[in-house]
Amino acid sequence: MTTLTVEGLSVHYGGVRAAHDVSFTVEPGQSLGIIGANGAGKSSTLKAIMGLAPRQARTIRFGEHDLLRAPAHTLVRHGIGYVPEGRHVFPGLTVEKNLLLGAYTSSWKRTPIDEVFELFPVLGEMRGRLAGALSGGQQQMLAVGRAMMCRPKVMLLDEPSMGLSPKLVNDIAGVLKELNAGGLAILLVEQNAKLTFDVTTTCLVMENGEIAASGASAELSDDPQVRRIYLGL
Amino acid sequence: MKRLALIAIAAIAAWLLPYGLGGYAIHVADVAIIFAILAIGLGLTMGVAGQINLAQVAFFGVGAYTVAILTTEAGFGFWTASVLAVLTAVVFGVLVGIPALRMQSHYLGIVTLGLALAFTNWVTNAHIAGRAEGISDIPVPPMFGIVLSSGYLFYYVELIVFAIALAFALLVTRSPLGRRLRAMRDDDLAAGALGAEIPLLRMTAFVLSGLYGGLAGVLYAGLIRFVAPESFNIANMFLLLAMVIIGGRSSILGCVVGAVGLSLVREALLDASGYAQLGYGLVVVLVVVFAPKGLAGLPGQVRALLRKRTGGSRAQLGAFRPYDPVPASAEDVALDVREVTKRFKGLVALDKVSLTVPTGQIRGIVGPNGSGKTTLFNVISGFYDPTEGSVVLGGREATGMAPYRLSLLGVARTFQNLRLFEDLSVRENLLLALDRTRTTWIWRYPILPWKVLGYERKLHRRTAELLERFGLTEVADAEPRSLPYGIQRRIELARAMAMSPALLLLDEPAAGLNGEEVRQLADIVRSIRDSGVTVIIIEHNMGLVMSLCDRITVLSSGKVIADGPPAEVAVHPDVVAAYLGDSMAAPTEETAEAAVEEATR
Amino acid sequence: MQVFLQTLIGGVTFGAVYALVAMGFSIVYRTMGLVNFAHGSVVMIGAYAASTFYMASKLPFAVAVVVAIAVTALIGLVIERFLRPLENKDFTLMLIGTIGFGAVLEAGAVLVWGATGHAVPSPVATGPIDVAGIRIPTYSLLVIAVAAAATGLLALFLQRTKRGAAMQAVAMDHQAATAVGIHVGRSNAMAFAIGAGLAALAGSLIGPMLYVNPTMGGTLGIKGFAAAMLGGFGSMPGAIVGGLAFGLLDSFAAGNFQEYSELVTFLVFAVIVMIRPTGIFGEATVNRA
Repeated sequence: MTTLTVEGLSVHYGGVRAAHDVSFTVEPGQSLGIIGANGAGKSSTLKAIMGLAPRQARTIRFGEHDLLRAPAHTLVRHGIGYVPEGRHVFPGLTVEKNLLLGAYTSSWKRTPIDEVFELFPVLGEMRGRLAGALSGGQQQMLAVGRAMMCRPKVMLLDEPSMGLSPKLVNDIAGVLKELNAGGLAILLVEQNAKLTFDVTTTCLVMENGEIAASGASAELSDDPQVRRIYLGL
Repeated sequence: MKRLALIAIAAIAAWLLPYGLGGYAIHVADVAIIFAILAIGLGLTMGVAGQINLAQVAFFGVGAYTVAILTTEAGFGFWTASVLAVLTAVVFGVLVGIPALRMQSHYLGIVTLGLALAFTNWVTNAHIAGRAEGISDIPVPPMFGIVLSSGYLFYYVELIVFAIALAFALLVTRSPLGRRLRAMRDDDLAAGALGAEIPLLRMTAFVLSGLYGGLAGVLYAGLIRFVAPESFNIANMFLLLAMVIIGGRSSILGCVVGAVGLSLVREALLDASGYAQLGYGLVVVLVVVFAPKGLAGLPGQVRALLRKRTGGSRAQLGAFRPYDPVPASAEDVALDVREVTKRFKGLVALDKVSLTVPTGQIRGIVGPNGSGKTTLFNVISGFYDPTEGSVVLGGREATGMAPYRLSLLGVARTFQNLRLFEDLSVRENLLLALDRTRTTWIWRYPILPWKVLGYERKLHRRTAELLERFGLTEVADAEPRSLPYGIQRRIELARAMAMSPALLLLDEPAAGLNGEEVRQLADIVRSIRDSGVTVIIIEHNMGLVMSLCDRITVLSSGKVIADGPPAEVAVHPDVVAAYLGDSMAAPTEETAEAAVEEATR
Repeated sequence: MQVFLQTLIGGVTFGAVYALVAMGFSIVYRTMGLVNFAHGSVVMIGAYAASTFYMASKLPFAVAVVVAIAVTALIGLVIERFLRPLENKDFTLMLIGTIGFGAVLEAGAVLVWGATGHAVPSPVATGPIDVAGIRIPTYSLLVIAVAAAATGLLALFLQRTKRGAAMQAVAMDHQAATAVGIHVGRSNAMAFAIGAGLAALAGSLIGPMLYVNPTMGGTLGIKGFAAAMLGGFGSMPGAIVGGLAFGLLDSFAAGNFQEYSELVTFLVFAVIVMIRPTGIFGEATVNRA
């Protein structure tokens, strides 16, 4: 089975410590959330797993694959989908091209593009439109859709709620729950605690680059620690 | 003392040099000095001020051709023509520099190169410039009855001009003007926020370029007494560039060494000029990749390597010495933001934001990602013009003022992701901020250079005091990037305070700091407030915000959703919702777009 | 009117070549943010390679051109590999590095082919076509057709192939491109090779119209660069429009100002980019000091 294992991960940018000694695992089909305030090191952790940030770690493994040694562009072949913070769709390319590029490492003749259009009908309607002309919410769906195109076993999402209206946040939550129910493991990094508690079963709380608390999502939502970190009380 | 001795030795050696040289060798030396002056000019514009100027050889040509035309066609005397020639070259410098006001880097490079080509095209074809044959019989420059046709005597004329030119260039680089030029090269936005008038500084760089080009041109006309287009073509521009890059573009002495060295090499390889050209090209490529600071930077590179091997020293931050408290003055308003709206391409980043900050307050600005906090800072500090609304500073209308003017009016800011000038030492970063003069102050450089030196000494004294106050004395001569992040944050704070501001804007000052550093930061900010400075602080560390701020303004989706004392704001239902993500008032798409806009700036 | 049309045809012909040079600049700039000042020298090498294979080896012109493209693509790969450590770091250094490469190529050309240069006979034997009193050289038509075909092929490659899409994706967002599995370094190298190939094509086409010599790269490169800038740096349609515009500017300046054409061309160019630094198709960037 393919479990994502992270042990002793630290991220430093120049002299700045963004994350320190972070460890967790994401079991197949599990949904794990990481919450925390801005700058707590959540995004850096995710980027480091993807090989997009300078990192040190004892272990980063996905099943039998050692991700510490794998060049960043090979991760997608092992079944790891990534939805970057701020969406990062390719603005000058059409919706369809964006999705197809999600399946860059496999044949373009047999892609799950129809499944993506089924999940996000609006993307189907706009398949010929440039991604840069989409609204924020549509871009977010496109980013999730693009990550689905590689038929991932686990999906890493970085702040998918950022800048979305409450209704769209609810929609995204629905989609993520649906995907998870279909067997896709999810690692969700979020500032929006409510969304995270809603989508995931287990949750980590990060503060100052370290894991400050962890537990079942349902219990954490009443934890005073979480309130302190978010509101300084 | 040691330096004076070195200068004396160099001067004596240069003075005695002709005695050991033959007639041809002295000619080579004369040409080398001319290239050295040219290289200083290019080093000042390109290395120090960061303006890609590929027209330096054209300025050289303008100087030489003006002398040639004025003496042969208009009957001027050599020295009268020379003065006019230098002035003409400076005017050309200004004209070629105008595009620099609108574009930088490769764009500027191509435009200046194009204008240089236009110049060669003109001299090759204009009758007055002698077309392809050039102009011969430029008169021998007279000097008190001495005939300067001898390469030996002309050497001394050149030597004196060179010495003055070098001394002036060193004065410029090691004083307030040079620091501002270098700051502009590294980060023109941050330099503007510190009070540097970028357009004027860019033009100054081109004036210097024209001045040195013109001087070199005059000497060339006097030495060779013949001008032709091929002396000023692109190939020579490349040679000059190679001199400056190999020598080290940001070091004036490096430029001189590169110019003299390459002149001699060129002379030695005259018979194999094809291979020599290949060699220069390869050396330039190698220098660019492996020794970006040229010969002048090699000692530093070696030192850095050694330091890495020995592990290096851990710099320590000293204690902060608090400011003397000033009794709070009457309640007046330091900053009044009135209904400010900022739109980017139809996206609303700030929506009718109003806030009033009384003098001597610490005001916190908080809000989720993309709520418009940094945009608000950018409006207050002049980086953005608000779409609507106004900003009033201490009763004075300040909407849409350029950052340097606001800086001189007492607005200082720090940046979310630290914008220290990486190639300047910690001390220089502070010197730069302490210099509160307008850029027009630089007229003193040619007229009253000793005043410049006096002012510089005064700045150094005040810098030492500031370094001590912020506990930075130990790291004063280090480059910021070599220091731990916590110290860099402290330096940025010290630099902002060096401007003696009335209003201090801190953008996430605690980001990346550890617990102890955050506590020190809080103490420093309180002391700054007690000294009478108004502080506005954007921060995500809510613990710090709650304990430090007198009052808090909460932004969400570009709107003010709450404003009040910390304890009141923290329990405000809208604030709780905005932070914890209850569906009540989550941020909208537009603000996130603005956040992206902000992040990609 | 006739003179005008005649100048127009000349301008379009040169413009087509400038457009090829500008497209080479743009594709490299777009994918890796590198402004290749050696591009002009690559054009020159292309011109030499094609004319040498054509004249000395008696290869058919078309084959000679293909060989020249292969040779320069290789040179492009070498330049990219060498300057890779500087990518996305120091713009000025990278720019100077490419100037250095330009000098190396130029000196190399002098060593291989001599400093004097040579004329290249037109590969098309038929005389000019006479249309309503205007003489259109057949070679001009060939140049325009080949340039158009190359542009079309490039557009097809970028729009219709996986690699083309990937190359554009890298240009837009290299991190996201990496995350979907694209090898950014390989994509960049390919962009560089294509850019150099376009330069070689431009060089081989312009060979029979000019005198092939080691310094031709300087002027051609600057003009191609200026064309790219005029159209808007990094934009493909911009490169085409900019190239044609610059060709016309060039040929009308030559018609009206004779020997001062270069002076006028560059002055006009400087004024235009002063007014609109981002070019015709360029994105507006905020630059406030």
